[in-house]
Amino acid sequence: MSYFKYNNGMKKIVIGLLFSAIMMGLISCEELLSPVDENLIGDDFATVDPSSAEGLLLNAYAGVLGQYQFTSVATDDAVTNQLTSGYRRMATGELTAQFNPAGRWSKYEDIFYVNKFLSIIDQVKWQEDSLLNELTYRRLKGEALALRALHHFYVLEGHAGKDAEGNLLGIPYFKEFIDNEGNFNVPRPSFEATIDSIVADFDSAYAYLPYVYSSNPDDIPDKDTIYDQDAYLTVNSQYYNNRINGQIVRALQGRVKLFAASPAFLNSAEVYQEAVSYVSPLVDEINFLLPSDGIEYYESDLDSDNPEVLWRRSVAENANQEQNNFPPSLNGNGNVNPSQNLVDAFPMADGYPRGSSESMYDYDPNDPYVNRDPRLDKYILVNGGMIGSNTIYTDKSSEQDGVNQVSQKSTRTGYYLKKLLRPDVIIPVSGNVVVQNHYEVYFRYTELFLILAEAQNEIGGPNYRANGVFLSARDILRLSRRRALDLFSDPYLEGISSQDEMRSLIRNERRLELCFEGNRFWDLRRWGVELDEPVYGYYKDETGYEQIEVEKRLFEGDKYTYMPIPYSEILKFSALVQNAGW
Amino acid sequence: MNHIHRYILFAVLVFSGVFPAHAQQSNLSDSPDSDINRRQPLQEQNDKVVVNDYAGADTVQIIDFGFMQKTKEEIVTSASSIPVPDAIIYNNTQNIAGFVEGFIPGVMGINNIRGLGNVLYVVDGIPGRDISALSAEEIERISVLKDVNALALYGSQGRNGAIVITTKRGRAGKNRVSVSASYHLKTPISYPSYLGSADYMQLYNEARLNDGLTELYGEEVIQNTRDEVNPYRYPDVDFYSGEYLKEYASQTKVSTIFSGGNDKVRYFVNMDHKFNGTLEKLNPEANVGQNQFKVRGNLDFKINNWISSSVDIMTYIDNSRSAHASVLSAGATFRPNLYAPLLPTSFVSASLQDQMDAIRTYDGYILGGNSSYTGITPIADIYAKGYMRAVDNITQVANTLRFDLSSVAEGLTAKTNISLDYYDAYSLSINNTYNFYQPVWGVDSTDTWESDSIVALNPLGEGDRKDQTENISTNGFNMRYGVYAQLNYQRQLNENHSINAVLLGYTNALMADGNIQLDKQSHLALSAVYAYRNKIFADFSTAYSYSVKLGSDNRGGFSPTVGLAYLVSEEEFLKDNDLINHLKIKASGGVLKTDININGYFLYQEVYNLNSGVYSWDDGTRSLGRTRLINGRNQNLTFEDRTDLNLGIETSLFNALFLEFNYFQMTFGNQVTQLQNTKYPSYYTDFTPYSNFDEDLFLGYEFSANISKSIGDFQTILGVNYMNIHTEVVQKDESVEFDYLSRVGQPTSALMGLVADGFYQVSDFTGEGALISSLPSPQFGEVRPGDIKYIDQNDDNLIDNNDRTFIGKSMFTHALGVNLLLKYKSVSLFILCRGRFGAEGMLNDDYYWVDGDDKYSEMVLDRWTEETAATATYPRLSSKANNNNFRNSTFWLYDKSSFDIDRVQLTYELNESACNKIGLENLSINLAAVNLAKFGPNKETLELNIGNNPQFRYFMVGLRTAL
Repeated sequence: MSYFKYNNGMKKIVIGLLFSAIMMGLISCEELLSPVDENLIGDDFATVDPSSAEGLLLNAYAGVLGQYQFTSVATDDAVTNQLTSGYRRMATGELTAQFNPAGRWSKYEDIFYVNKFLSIIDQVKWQEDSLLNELTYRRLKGEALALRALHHFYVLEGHAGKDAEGNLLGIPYFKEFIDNEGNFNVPRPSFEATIDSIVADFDSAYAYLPYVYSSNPDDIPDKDTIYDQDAYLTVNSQYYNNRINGQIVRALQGRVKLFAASPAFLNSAEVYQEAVSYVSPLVDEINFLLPSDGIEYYESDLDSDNPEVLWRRSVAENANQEQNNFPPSLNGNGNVNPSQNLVDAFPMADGYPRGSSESMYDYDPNDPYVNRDPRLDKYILVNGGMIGSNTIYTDKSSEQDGVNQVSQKSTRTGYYLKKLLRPDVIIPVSGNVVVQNHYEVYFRYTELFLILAEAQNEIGGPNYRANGVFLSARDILRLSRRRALDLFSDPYLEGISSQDEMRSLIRNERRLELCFEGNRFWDLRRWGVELDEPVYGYYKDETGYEQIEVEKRLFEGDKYTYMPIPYSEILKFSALVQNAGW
Repeated sequence: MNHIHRYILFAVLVFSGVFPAHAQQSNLSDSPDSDINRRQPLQEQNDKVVVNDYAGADTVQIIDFGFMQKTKEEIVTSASSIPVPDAIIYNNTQNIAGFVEGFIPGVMGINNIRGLGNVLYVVDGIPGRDISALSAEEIERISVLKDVNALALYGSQGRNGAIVITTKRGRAGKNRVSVSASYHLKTPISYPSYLGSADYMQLYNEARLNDGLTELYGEEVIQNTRDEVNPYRYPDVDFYSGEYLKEYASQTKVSTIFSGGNDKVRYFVNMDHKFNGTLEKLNPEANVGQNQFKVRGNLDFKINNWISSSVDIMTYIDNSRSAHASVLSAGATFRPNLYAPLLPTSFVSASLQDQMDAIRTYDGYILGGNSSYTGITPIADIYAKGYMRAVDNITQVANTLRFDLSSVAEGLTAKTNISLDYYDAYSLSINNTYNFYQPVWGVDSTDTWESDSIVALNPLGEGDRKDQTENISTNGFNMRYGVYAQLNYQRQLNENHSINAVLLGYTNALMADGNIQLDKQSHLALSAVYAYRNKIFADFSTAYSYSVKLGSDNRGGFSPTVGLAYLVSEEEFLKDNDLINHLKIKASGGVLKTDININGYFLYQEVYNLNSGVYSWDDGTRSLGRTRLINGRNQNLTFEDRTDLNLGIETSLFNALFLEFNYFQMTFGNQVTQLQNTKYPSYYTDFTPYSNFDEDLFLGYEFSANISKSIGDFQTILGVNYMNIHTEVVQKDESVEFDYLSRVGQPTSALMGLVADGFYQVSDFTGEGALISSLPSPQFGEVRPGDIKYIDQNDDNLIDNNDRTFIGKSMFTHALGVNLLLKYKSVSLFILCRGRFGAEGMLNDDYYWVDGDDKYSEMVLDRWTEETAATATYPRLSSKANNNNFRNSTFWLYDKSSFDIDRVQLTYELNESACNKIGLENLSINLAAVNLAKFGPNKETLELNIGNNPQFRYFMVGLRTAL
């Protein structure tokens, strides 16, 4: 044990050891007494970093509702094969104020982000140059106001309704950000007041926004000609395509007014007229012509200024929709299964309703897809139909694609979705997926035309033309059906004389043209029609086709017209009144 | 505040380090294994404290407090300990839990003290250490600290109580080698039981008919399956059969210890090897099992007369090798008729000979599959995908310096400790790709077989390719380091008064991969005990915690606690009393400020996240990050408070019976939550601040009795302990319409659910299938006869979530432990039992909630049909997702209570002369059974694991000896 002699050297070692221990303690001490700086951004970022400030606004853009909602699986248009789908549960008896997958209340989050953005917009230095700074400020303010209006409209659509006394109520309209000490117990204003607030925000936005994003001096609106042309075009150039502009604001105002005028709400010719006044100038701009490639606008790589598309999300290259909806033999999950009800809504090829005795074509229930509206084959994959170069069979002998063969992959109705899918996407069993460009559309011209048709028919019937409007409802339907059916003459349409018949035809046309784009669920409600029509499938076996009830729609009763306010909010906020029945 | 704290910490460190340089030489206490300086007067009373005394002699029960040790006599709180080396001969358990539960009252498993869970492990005085590598062989003592007075020195980390583990150290004197080896057979107690193919298909058809849909499976397929015409064409797969699983697996363990030393240096070295086999039968090359190696070295040495030091090093490697899939997990979802995972080559038509030449076979089989289920290929994964190796490394190093400062002041000592732990887990894998095949069955004219054969094989999969590299991925990386320094002052002032004080400066940090923040704790603590004539003890223990999780004005938290104990048996009137040898009453209480349940940093400030996804426009040519908030601002956010009150009494009677009773009450107030249910709208989540709001109460009592009695050669030791615990929510972030929905006043582990009221019967429906109007309308989807009926609690004629009510609690209210040792000469029998009562569980696994595409378990045999309406115990089958039946309700509630015989061990100890003949010391042989039996109303449910390894029953033979 000689090495353990307690000599002087040893003492030095000990003292050294101690010293290093103390130093280590102190060094780590410094580090241990404060959290690691995560470079977190406090709200003072706004003035120094315009990109971060603009990032607040972009949340509202990300929240804009596109086509891929597939609420249609909770309507008579389709079912889903997914066992736990919220929409499926909702449609089969689970919709309550506590469980509402179609709820829009969360859109208030986007509104609060917009308001947060608006609360700092004045402090941010957007550009070094003062004119460019002002112009940028104006554009962003316009975008924010427009998106605030749009998101309030989403909430209104999802939650407007009548209270127990029958008063038609809107939803709270938030024009300010509320900090966490503020008052959230805000009552619901009247439906009209909410509509007025939405329209007012859109109008303010319109005053700030360029009409379109463009580098062409001719596109500068008159109100903005006071600004230096070069500066204006720099700030509002086509680099801002896909963001909201004055033209889109007007189209949205038309959509809002049609909604407000509808039978379940104001049921008012005056409001229909306002819808017409927002929409008709836009129709004028494209010379009253329904864009010719509006039927399969999703099918191929569009050029970025496709005339059918008024507003859409940025292009994205993926295969998501195909993976969800291709039939299982093409390695998709066959999620959305169109209904026989929808298939029946497609007319025969000469424009007469299916089974009409006046049609030149006989409808054969065992050969049901011949001589039909060509849109049927374009939007719905039927038994023996083709997608790309693949023929798909859904009869009972078909091992993968046949009805109910593979749970949560095969169709439940006998039909697969074809609309919105690109047949040139390839999903192999294993290995790389071939992806394609997809455009998720927010607003297309066909809807604009159908708004005009519906509003005018409600005001004055099939042939009514509002002051300064070139097209009547009948004219618009003629355009639409000609585009779809390639008809030289349309005796069924021309034979319609009453407003009621025209209303049915317009609603049917809207159902077909806008199917699977997220409209029908809300259209049925604003029309105030029955919601409980069961969904049918069409099964084929050796003996032929048979119509089978696939799923009920347990929306029986008036309360389902107006969706509930979330129960948790009613509990917390005494000022919020629930819609009747919930 | 921040600065003051820093200075004090600095001062402690300097004081502990620099002061000794001026001190003069003095004697280092030569206590080999501890920091304890036992005061003389206490030692005199040692014989009055009887502990679980396996060594056969009365000894002092020492409690490790981590930073100090105390004897059971002098503590004022309810802390207990168990000396492991004495017990291990009779309780040769592998896990630490085997020495805690059943021995120490107030413990429910290794991770739960008084119902709190998430205990703090302290190993050799170092809090926050990983204990997974510890083996019972190397443990000296396990102590359990339960109340705030005992835990104050741990600051924030003490919130949930601490289990303090002390490892063995070398002793001066003889060098010793000891060996312990054991071999275990483990047999699965229970497997899930699923229906075979034919029954499944038949009942699935029934489920579809129940839903008003058409049947799916044809009569012929079902009949062929039932007749076992061809098990590969009409498969009936059972992963729990002997085809895939062994009946038992083995486990071995060898542990060797070298220890010894002299007055200058002492060593303790432990080496362990453990092997744990697997039940999986297929591909034994991949399915190897688990190998664990561990080495520990604890070294103590004297540096000079007043400085001593120790260096402890432990390193551990856990290496598990398995195939890429497990039949035990796949078995819970793989429906029996899905496809045959293995196709015998003998069934392949001769016409496919050319194709067959290129197909890989495994034990005479081709890998089967189905193009609709290409993602579900467990057997192919086991055979063809290669292997996975999961490696865990733990290394722990610590250095302690002890200073005897009696030259500065009598009774003054100091200690510094630096420790570093390192944990790294990674996996290595070979990921081969492979083909599997979907067969086409038919009758091939070229074959002479009468039965059908495979006439085509459609390849699926990505082709047979060997992985060229071993892939490595990390599963976690942790580093913990800590430094503390303490000054101890221990002085008998005069005959009547003595003082024992510890001043501690402590800091600790855990670095985990993926976390920007170090998980840091630091605090200053003082524990001062005053003793009057060694019969009255007053303990003031406090910590000043410093939390970096709180705003800069709120970082300091002061935690005062006090404890009092009165040793009544020291009074004249009880001294030398033969009946009552020992009697102590004690009380303690205080407040502990803690931040360990604050899950995050900067929660007090408004934080923006600039990376919440990118939004692009102009078709992707322009984009910017979205800016979102993470939470709102609350500069007043502060610590959670644990407030305690403890009252206790302990006594020793007839020199044989030791009794202890403690009452405890803990309140956890100011718990941090976001007030989303009381104050803020649902859409305000991103902007919602954190607040101190929720409050829970835990109260109960614990009782223990230990009897130790010898009559001649016969010795009995019996320990019984019991805890009763009651919990209650005092304040909670909630909004409810009906009082019965409130959690306030209910147990913290309350189970909310509907109250079931039998099944809907056919008579409850109209001819059209609608529910008759007198019944409340269920809001969980359409109901049909055979669905579960519920009680409408609020009479609103709807069955919805507002009809839920308190139906049970998931936390046990009673915990019982019994340990018994019977010894006759060299033979002994040890029995350890455990009981837990008063808790409910919910049968909510897919095994019990069978709907949609679930595999059908035997539960469905008792389903409701019109014929069995009177006797059915399970709702009607459904091919949809049935949300009416499968939700929390009393229908699925079960009582989790059980009484378990955890361990029975028979030990034979060779006597000394026999040992000497073969040159060994202390040779003992033991036979044991673990998890031997369970008693309880739902024993089968409790014993069943679904989708992973089963519970095992172990049979062990072991040997231990010293050289």
